[in-house]
Amino acid sequence: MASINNSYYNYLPALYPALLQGLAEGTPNNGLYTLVIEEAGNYTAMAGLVSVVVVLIRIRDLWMSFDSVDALKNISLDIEPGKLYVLLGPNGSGKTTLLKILLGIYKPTRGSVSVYGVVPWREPVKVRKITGYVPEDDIIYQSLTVREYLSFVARIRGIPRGEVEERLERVMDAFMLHDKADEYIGNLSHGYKRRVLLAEAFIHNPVIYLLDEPFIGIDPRIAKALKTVLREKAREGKTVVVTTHILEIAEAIADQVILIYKGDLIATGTVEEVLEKAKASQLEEAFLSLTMSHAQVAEIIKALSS
Amino acid sequence: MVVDSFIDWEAFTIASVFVREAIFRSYKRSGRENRFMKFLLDVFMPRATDDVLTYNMKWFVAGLFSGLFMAIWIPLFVLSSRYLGLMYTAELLLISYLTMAFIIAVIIVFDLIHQVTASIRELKLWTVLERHPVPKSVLEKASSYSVLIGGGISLLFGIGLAIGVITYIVTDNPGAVLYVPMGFLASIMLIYPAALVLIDKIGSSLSNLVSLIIYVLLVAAAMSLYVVFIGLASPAEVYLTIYSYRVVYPLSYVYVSVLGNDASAALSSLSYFLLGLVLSATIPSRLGIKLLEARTGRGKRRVLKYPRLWSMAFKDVFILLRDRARSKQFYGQIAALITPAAVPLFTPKILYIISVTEYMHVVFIFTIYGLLSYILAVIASPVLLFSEAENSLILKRLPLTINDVALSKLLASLILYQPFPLLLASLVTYMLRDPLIGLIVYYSLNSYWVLGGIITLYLVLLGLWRSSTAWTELSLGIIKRLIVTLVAVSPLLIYVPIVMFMYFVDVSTAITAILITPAPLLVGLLIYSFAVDRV
Repeated sequence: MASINNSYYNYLPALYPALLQGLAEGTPNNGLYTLVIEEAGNYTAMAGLVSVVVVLIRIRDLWMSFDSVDALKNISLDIEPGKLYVLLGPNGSGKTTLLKILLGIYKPTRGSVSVYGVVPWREPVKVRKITGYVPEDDIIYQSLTVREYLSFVARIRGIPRGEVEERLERVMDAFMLHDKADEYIGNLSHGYKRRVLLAEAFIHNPVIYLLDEPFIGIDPRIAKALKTVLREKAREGKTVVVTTHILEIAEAIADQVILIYKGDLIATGTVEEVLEKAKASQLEEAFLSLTMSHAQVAEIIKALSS
Repeated sequence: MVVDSFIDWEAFTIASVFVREAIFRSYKRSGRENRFMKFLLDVFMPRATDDVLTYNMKWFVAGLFSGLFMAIWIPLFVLSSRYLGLMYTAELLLISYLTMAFIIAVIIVFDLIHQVTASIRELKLWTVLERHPVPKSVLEKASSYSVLIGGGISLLFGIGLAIGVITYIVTDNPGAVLYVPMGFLASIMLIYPAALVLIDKIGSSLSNLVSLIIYVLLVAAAMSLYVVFIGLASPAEVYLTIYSYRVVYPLSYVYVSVLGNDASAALSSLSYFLLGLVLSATIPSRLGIKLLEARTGRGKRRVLKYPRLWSMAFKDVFILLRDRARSKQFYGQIAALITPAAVPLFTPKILYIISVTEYMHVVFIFTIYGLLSYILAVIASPVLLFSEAENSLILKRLPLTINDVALSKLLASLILYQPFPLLLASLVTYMLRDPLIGLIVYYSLNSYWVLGGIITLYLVLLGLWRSSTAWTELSLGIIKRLIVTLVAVSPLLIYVPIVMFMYFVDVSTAITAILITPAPLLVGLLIYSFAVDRV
C-alpha cells in the first residue's frame, strides 16, 4: 500500500503513473508531494522528486476488546524504519496487546494495521517470517536443550541446514549461552531463559524487532550490549519497537516514545517532544504527569509506609 | 471433625485453584463471543467462575453424552440378535462389552492421572505457589486431588450411568442402573489410590523409559487377559469364566448387571465400592502425585537441522519422550487397543484360519490392522497437540501455518508409533512364516495411521488454531472431542462396506484397494516433508 497526497494505491508500481502525471503537469518541488510507502523496497530513485516518508507499519483507528474490556482504543500510529521506538505505559495499558496485533496473534476488534504492506492477522506467516519477537513471558519448551530449541527455531525460520550451526554459534556467543548450550531450558534461571528468547529473536537477522520487556531479568552486560545492538539495527534501517517500564532505558535509547495509558495513545514523539508536552524535565515526571498518576503514587507510598 | 481427618483442606483448596486456573488458561478468548455460542459454552463447558460443584455437574453431563455415544448401538444390536433368535449372542455381547468398558475405565483413570498432572506441569501452575510457604508435599497432594475434583469422578459416573441405563433397557435388570455406575466409580476409587501408592513407592525411582515400558506392559497384560478369557473364548467358556470369577473385580459388576442378582457377586461389588471409598478418602490426603521432577544434568549435543518439517517433528518426539505423563498417555492408549489385535496371533485356531483362507488375509490386513491403526491415530495423535499446552504460543510467534503444524505432528506421531508396527510385523512374519504378509502389515499399519492421523489433527487444530489460549484437553472439551472422533471415523463407515462389497466381487480387487487407498497420502507426505524446506 502506498499513497501520494493521501490518494492510496494498493500496489506500489501503480503509483508511478500518478507520479509521472504530477511531473508532467508541473515540476513538483521536493516536499510538494508526500509519498508514503508501506512496502519494503528500494526507493532511492524517487528521492529528490518528492518528500519520501517510508512508513512500514501503519496503524489506523485500532480498537481491541477482550470480552467487556477495551485494551486498545482508537490508536493511530505510523512506525518508520531507521528509528528506535519505545512503547511506554503502566501495567495493563495495552503494550503487549499492540505487539501481538502487529505479529498477527490477535485480530483487532476494528481498525486497520499494515506491516510491510501486509495485514498481520490475515497473513501472519509473512509478518512472522521477517520479525524477531521476544514475548513478555518465558514461554519456551522446558524439556529441550538450548541448542535443540535454537536449532529448531532456525530451521522453522528457513535458515539453510548448512548455516544452522554457524548461526547458532553466533547468537550463543552474542548472548553468552555457550556454557548452557546442552542444558535443558527448564533448568535455566529466568535470566538465561530471557537470553534464549533474545537469541531466538536475533537468529534470523530479521527486519522488524518487536521486543516485549527485553531488559527484564538480563544482567547489565547483556543489557548494555542489547541497547547498542538495537541502536545499530535501527541505524541499518530496520524497524525496532521495544516495550519497557524502565524509563532510564527509554530515555537512553528511544528515537521516538509512544506512551499508552489504559488503551489510549497519550503521547508520541521524541523524548524532548514528550517532555515538552508534559512540561517536565525528566521522562519519569512526564510519564506520571501524562498518565495522571501523581495521586496514585502518593497513595501507594502511604499504603506501603503504613 | 471426622471429615477433616480424611481431607487435607489446604491441598484441597490449592487443587480447586489448579483446576480453575487450568480452565481459565484453556478457555481464555480474545474478542467478543457470538451470544448463542457464549450461552452454549457457559452451559456445557467448565468456566473459571464455576465452583467445584458446578463444573463437576458439567463433567457429569459430558460423561452422560460420552456414555450414550459409547453404548447407543447396543440396543440395536441386541434387538436384531433377538429378532434373529440369537438370544445368547446378545448376552455374550453385553458381557464382553461391559468387561471391556470396565477395563477401559481403568485405563481412563490412568489416562486422567496423566492428563491432569501433565496439564498442571505444562501450565506450570505450581510455580506460582513455589514462592509461598507451601510445602512440596501439599502441592503434590493438591495435584492428586485435582484428578478427583477436576472432573474425574463425575465424568466416569456420567459414563457409567448412561451405560447402566442402556444395559437396563436391553436386559430388563434394574440392578444395572445401580451396579454399572457403581463399578465405574469403584474403578477410579480403587485404581487411583493404588496408582498413587505405586507411583510413590517405585515410580519416581525409575527412569522415564523403564517406567513407560512397565506401564505399557501392564496395559497389554490387562487387555490380553480380556481377549483370552472373554474375547476369543467359546460361549460356554465365557459363562464359566464369568461365573467362576464373579467375585473378582470387575467381573462382579458385569455379572450382577447382565446375568441378574447373585448374592456373592452383589456383595463383592458393594465391598469393592466401599473399599474404594475408604482408600480414596485416606490415601490422596497422605500421598501426592510427583509433580516437580526437575530435569537434572545436561542433554546430548544435538542440533535439529533436519528438513524443516522433520525438525519440528523431532522436537515433538523429544518433548513427548521426556514427559513421563504424556508418553504414558500416548503409548497406553495405543497398547490398550493394539493388544487385542496381537493376542489372536498366539491362538492356534485363529492362526490356522488366517493362514488358510484368502478372505481372512483381507480381514487380517485391513480390518484388523489397517482399520485399527486408523482408529488408533484418531485417538492417540491429538496427544501431541495437547502436550503443547501453553507452548502453543511459541507456535504463534513463529512463521508456521496450520499445515506445518498438522503435518509435523503427524510425522512425530508416526515416528513415535514405530515400535508397534515393527513389533507386529515381526510377529506376523514369525507366526505366519511369511515375510510378505509381515511387510504388508507394516505398510498397512503406517499408511492407515497417516490417513487417520491427518484427518484428526486437522479437525482438532481447526478447533484450537484461532484461539490464543493454551492447548489442553480442556480447550477442546469432551463434546467437541467426541464430534471430532465421530467425524474422523466416519470415512470408514463408507469405505469399509465398499471394500467388503469388492471382496464379494473379487478378492484381489479388494486387497488392491486396501493397499492403494492410503498410498498417495503416505508417499505425498514423505515427498513433501523432504522437499519443502522454506518458510
